[in-house]
Amino acid sequence: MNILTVDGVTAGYGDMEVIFDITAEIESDDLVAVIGPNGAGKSTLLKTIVGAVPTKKGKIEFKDQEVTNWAIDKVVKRGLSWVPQDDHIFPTLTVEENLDVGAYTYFGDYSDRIERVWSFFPQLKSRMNQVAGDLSGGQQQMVAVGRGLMTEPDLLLLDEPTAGLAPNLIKMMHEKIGDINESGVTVLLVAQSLETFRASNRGYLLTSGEIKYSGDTDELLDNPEVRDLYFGG
Amino acid sequence: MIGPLVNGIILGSIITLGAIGVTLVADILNFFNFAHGAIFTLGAYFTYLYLNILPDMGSMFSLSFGGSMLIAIVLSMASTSVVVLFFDKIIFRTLRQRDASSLFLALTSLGLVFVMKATISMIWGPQVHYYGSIQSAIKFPLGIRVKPDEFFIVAASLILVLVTYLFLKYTRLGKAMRATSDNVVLAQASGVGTEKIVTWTWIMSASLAALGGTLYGIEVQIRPTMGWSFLIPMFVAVIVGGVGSFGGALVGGMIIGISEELITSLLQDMFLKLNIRVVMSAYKPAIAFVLIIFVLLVRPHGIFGRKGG
Repeated sequence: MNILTVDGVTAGYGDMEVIFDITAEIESDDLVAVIGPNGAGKSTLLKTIVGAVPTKKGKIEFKDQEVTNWAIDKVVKRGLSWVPQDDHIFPTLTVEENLDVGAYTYFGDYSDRIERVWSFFPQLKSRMNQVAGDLSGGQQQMVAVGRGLMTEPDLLLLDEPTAGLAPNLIKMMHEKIGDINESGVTVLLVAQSLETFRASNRGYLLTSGEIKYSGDTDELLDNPEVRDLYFGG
Repeated sequence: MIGPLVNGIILGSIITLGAIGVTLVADILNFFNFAHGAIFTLGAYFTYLYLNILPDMGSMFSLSFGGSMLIAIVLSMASTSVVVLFFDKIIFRTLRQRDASSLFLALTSLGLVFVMKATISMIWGPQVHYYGSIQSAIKFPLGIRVKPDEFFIVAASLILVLVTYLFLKYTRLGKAMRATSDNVVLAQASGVGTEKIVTWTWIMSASLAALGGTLYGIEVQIRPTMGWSFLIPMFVAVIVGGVGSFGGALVGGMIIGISEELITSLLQDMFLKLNIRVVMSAYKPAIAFVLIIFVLLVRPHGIFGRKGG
């Protein structure tokens, strides 16, 4: 069953169109990656889905409800969470306050959600009262993903979650994303590296704002053109 | 020196109330609201209006006013907030929707100052008004003289500053306001509705300004231009403390209040000894300007401000 359907979407900034006629389907509980060269429109696709970039043509359905051009906070309340690549934390708030804001849409006791984040990222618990802007890049990425989980989303959009991380942290982040997916959260992520792409089940290859290939990860990796062009053979 | 210091604390506590409002709007709505002084004045006049409507409840403790003043203050804070939200709805929200720049928003607020000042003068007249009778001061050791109303002014300011701090630090909405000031899009991506945050920012800013204006009215008098003369100290307090910093507004407000009183008092004594006749209190705004130049040269982002913020 599809949790997200992107149907012929064209979107961009102002008069400039960045992605063209994108059609994609994400099934529940899947872990899907979007790959492509710099400037292909990967981040714009995620921003369009969440409503941060206006859709000019086509429609987006999330959980059987059309959400095209909805305000971001409204889409989030429906169960979609987005972790941007840059500016992904509240730097003057503590780690715990970042998670508190992540749970803004929930009015009940959310201590179990915070415990769940600590279980994914135990390093953060000892730094819960530390200002997030003072953390290392890897720890900030954990806070960002943790904040994204606080809404208990059905679909989590992660924009290059391993960008700028040290190799050991990249491996750890892949494991955590796998754990999050196994816990029942559908994940759509922008992958920059072969390793991140390998962590997914399915993929879409974007180039110049259009989908060039799509399919199972293994199929795409077996495609010599995909390997040669985007992962250096 | 103790006398001017006490006066500085009283003045500083009023400036602080205004400065917190200025810093909240600057940080969350991203512009310097020149109309904040006029909002401060409007609050003082609303209190005057309600005091004349409400029955006289006598005075309490040794204060020059009683329960009717407390009710008038609450009503004034609510009325001022309603007026400010009206201005936001018809002016600022429209400009935000058109992606108006911070400079344009600030200039619009400057225009609003003249509209508000003229309206206040038309309704209440250009003359000064007083809330009640003149009060004599209590004498303390070291030549300190403090009026009972002045204890109320400092206590009311401190309580409201503390309540505002606790609200911003610990409540769900307060955290959302701080998150929005950090990163609007990420706050939206956490489900925070920006317009709700804007509404609460105006309510808090207007309420604190209304209280500040009323406290100044209790201490001195009310007149249509009172807020304009307070605008510079409020802006200076925010810049000295650091734009967007709550603690900065508090410390900045106190620094400005105490500096203005202490420095003018010291200069007055010096000129008296030199037999030069000059009324130094007229030069208080100059102290604020000297301080702002000094701070901008030495620490452009303020005492508690973030670099580049």
